[in-house]
Amino acid sequence: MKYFVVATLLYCICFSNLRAQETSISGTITTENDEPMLGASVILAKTTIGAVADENGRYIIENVPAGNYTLIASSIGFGAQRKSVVVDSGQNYTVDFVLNEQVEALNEVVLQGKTKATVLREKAYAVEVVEMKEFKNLATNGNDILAKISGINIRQSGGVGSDFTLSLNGLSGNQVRMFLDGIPMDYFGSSLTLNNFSANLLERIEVYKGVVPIHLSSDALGGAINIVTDQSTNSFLDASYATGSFGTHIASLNAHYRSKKSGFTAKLTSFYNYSDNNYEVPIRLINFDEFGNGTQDDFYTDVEHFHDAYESKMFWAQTGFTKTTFADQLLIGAMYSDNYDEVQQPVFAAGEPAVPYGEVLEEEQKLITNLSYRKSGLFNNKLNLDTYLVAVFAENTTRDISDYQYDWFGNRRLRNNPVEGEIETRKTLLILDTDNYLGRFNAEYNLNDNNNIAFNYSLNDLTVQGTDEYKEENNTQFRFPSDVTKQVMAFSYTNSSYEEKFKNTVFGKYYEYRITSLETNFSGDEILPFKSNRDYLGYGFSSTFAIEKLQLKASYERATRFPEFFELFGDGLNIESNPALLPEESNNYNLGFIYRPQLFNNPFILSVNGYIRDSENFIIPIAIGLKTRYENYVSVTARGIDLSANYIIDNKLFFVLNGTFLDKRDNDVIINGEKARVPNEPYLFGNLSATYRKPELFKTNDNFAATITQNFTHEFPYRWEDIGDADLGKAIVPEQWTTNMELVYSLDNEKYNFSLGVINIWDREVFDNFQQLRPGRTFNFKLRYFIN
Amino acid sequence: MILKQLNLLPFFMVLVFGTAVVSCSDDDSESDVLQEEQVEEEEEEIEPETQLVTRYFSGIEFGSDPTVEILTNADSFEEGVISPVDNGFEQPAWMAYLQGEDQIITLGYNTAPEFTSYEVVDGALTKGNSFFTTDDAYAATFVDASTMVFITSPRSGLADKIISIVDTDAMEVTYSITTTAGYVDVDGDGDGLGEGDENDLIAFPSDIHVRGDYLYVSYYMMSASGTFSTPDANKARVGIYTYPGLEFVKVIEDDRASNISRYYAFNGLLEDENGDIYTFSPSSIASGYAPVPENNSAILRIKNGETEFDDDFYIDFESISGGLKINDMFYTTNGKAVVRATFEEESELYLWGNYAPTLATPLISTGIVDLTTGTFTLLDNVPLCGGGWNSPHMIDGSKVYLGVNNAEYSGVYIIDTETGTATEGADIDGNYAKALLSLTTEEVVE
Repeated sequence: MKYFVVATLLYCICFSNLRAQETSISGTITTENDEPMLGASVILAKTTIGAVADENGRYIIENVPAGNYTLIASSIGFGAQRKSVVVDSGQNYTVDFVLNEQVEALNEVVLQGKTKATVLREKAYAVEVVEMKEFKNLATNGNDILAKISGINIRQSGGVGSDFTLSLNGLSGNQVRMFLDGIPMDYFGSSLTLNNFSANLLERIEVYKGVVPIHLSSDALGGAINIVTDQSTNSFLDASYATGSFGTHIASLNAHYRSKKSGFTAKLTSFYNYSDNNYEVPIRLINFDEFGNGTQDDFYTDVEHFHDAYESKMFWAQTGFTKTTFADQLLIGAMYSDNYDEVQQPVFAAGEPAVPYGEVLEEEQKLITNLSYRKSGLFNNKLNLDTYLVAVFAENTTRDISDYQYDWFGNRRLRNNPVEGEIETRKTLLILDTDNYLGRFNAEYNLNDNNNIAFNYSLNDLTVQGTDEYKEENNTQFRFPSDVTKQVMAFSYTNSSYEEKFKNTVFGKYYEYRITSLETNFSGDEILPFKSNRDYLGYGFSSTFAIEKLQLKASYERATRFPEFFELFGDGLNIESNPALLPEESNNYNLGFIYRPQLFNNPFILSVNGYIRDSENFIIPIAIGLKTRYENYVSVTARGIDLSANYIIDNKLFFVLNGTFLDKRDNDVIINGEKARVPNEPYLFGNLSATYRKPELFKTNDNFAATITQNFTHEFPYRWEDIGDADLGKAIVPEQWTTNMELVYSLDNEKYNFSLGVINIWDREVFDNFQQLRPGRTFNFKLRYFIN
Repeated sequence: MILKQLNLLPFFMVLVFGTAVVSCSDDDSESDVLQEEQVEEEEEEIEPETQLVTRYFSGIEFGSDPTVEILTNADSFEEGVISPVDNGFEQPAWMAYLQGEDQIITLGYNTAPEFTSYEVVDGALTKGNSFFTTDDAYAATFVDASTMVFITSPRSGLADKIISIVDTDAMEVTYSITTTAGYVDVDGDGDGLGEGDENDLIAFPSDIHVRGDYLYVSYYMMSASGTFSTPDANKARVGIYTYPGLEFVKVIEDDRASNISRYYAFNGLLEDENGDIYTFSPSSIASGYAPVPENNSAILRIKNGETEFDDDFYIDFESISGGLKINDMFYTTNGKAVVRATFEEESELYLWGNYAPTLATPLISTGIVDLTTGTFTLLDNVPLCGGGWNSPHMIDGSKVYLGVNNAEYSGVYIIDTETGTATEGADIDGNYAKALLSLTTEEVVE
């Protein structure tokens, strides 16, 4: 708790640092879509006085003599805009510009215009940025979009809302940290994940491969993903409803009001997801007798998932001020979210089980409050501050208390043993209360035009306590509060030279990690207090050099990740505890280039990144029956290459190719004299998509786009490769080819939008985690209304 | 590992006899190809010449994250390396491997209770049919080439145990009964949990065996509260049922020894050439008994034709061995048995210490006990073993092929109870062997 106080103090300090500036004109330059325009210029007409916008689109012109001026803002590919201003001495003026794209320069906008995404890409980190503009009209979620990025593989155990594992360059799960607007997302729990965030609530997704900039401050082993919600400071209303196969209904409402006069801002971000997930799977059924013995059919019967429904909702209201003299953003907010997830089958079992679950449930309710403050351009445009405080209060319920055994038709039979649950030989009703406080303080200071230093402090304090009236082991484990505290302090220095063609950043991170909890045994009649206090040092660099159309990038980080609470102490049901877990560490190397030539007079981008992830004490889930336990793995090395190519023909046809090869080896398991490939992990996968765009299809101001995407995943072994005879029923996850199609039609300058999507057109069998089947062909239809 | 001696005796006699024939003819005593002389009675029809061929198999655990189990073909248990690389059947989960007369049956533990049959077809091990159970099976025995009996049990609560008879040719359960024989239900509410049930006890099966018209179930008393504790351990207990009717007859008890066998051993009731059944009682916290039973680790007998313990037979194993406690026992011939035994401190730290196959500080020694003279010989050239659940072993006459494993080593040792020697056999490529198995088929000589 004392860290919380420290963070609060820091918060106050940052407010007290606010100072007014002398006779200046400042503001932001954005596109119509509210993307900041780095590099856009503003000059006072007929003078040499001017400024260039920074990556937030902000500019500031200082020491302006009194007088009447015309400000001209311009940028390549955008029409110039003029605004008049009368300047009195000692006053500050705010003048914002929204520049319009020039239609004939659309190519440039997509590929060369410096949108926020391009700015990020040009940073020396191995970063991929997905701007959501293209996706907002689709009935897709964050996962669907991320899955198209090279190096990323997302494996989902079932339909809407099901558990998923994201892997980035061979590191997966919690090794890759997710952030929501810079706040570590894992603390938001299951009701706020990438697979339930509707595309039109998002502005962009940033994927940092292996090396993570300090402002995303957490312990991450293999990179970070930052999901940025709509940062627009204009007033708008964005509402959507989508419906799809298997009883799926997804609605979102995103509203934003800002008074241009006072900067008063009110935001609502909300969604509702529901799905029956009643897709069909082929099962060899078992015919049980009254004693619970039975033989399995030698043929398959198609049965529906009957206990796989999912519901989640989120309401997030924020209010405060934006783009004022005292804050770029000062917002206070409250969020409520909940999650209801029926569990149809063992999460970690191989294949479709012959015996389904009929009553196993997981539920979550969360209340989150947040306070965020952001201000750039302090002290003569030298200091930028960005800070937040978040408090999370959650209740999670895990329920496995049925006396019945179910069959795949939903019929049930009283079990012989009333003590057992459906998952385990004992019942579970675990209710966990979690209090979580997070804070961050980030400051960037520009020493001069070419040198910048930054400091970041973050704090994360988690307390868990709970009860289980059935399982004494859980009841003991969670009877007393368990506490996990993580602090990260980081510092970086950035230098650019040769007209910003050569950029270097070096950084250091100091992690401190404390845990106070207890260990118990199967029967819960033992209590061993457990305490651990560790600190680690991380460091790294990123470097980029641009030569005309070629940009080279190299980066390195010595990364550390501390075990999560559930990895140490289990989840009371599927995951067993292992408090002896050590942090995992990794040396992450990236070397790549981006090449942007013109190909037959059309823009082409080729991006290639080679990487090595050399990890020790790897924390990995080890399947034990239907449960798992996280264990330290001595040493794993992943080497791989990501490739991404974009080509646009006449601004009508867009081609994107992404491919990943990943060679991930366990340095301690030798098979046939070689280090063994880490099993149950795809190692060759990719996708190719083609989009056709046609503006003014039927009338002016309408737009049509059609996209077809082909996905490929090479077969991979579920367990160790070459162990056991492949011809004798060895578990192999087969090669998968799937095709998706999306059609979007927009009217009235994208005020009304309609989209139709078909996932897995040919209804192929798609396997994911542990050979479990995902839904087959899925249709969805989405309506979106957007008014600005 | 339900290698019930009498049932397999004819098979081994054939094997031993056949080996002898081969030894005389070609000096190759290691040969596992057995010739059988063909008698040609018909003048015109010549029957194809056949031979008995024995093939060896091992259940091997390999790797970690995930550990995988492979039912692996083995050239020999005597030499070389038994490797699952490109060899054998990958198993779906943590398995037990049961040795039948003409088949191997695998059984998923706890979470995947499926029995699957493997037989040799056209010279190769072939996966056959399977059946499922809802409750977990903790003991099984083969009655003949077509019949297996198994028993399920709750691990907490007082739910019925179920005994089922299986047609192993069809892999179908043909007959089942429920039983609560031996349960202690203090308040008589039948559920074993909650108020008034603190002292309720499950009669938890450790082995079953069919002899003549009776089915014997050795069991121990375990808390019904799910703590696995064994507060009432100072008796050896066997439930007796009719066979094949499976009607409960009675429970027999003997307070000279303690609980018979141990959790998930699939071993405990050993029948010799005379039809006498020997039982062993570990009295060991490392074998899973807490608190530590007071009675010494001991061997008892139920004589052929009797349904009571033999008052005239008692071996105080702990005394004759200088303080060792039996974790496993395998009967060979002529009143001799191979014993795996533990020297332990009677402290909580040793609880379940015999269930750590790759332990760096293994506890289990190997030796030979003479049931006739009541003497014990320690074989100190066999490495200490970390143990496991059902001990990997294959009995061949006076020899036991025994899986030995710890953090440093995994392989096979051959214990000969006639010569009183132990020799190192094949190595295991993997974490450890969970089972050593064999199948003999009559095949046409080509």
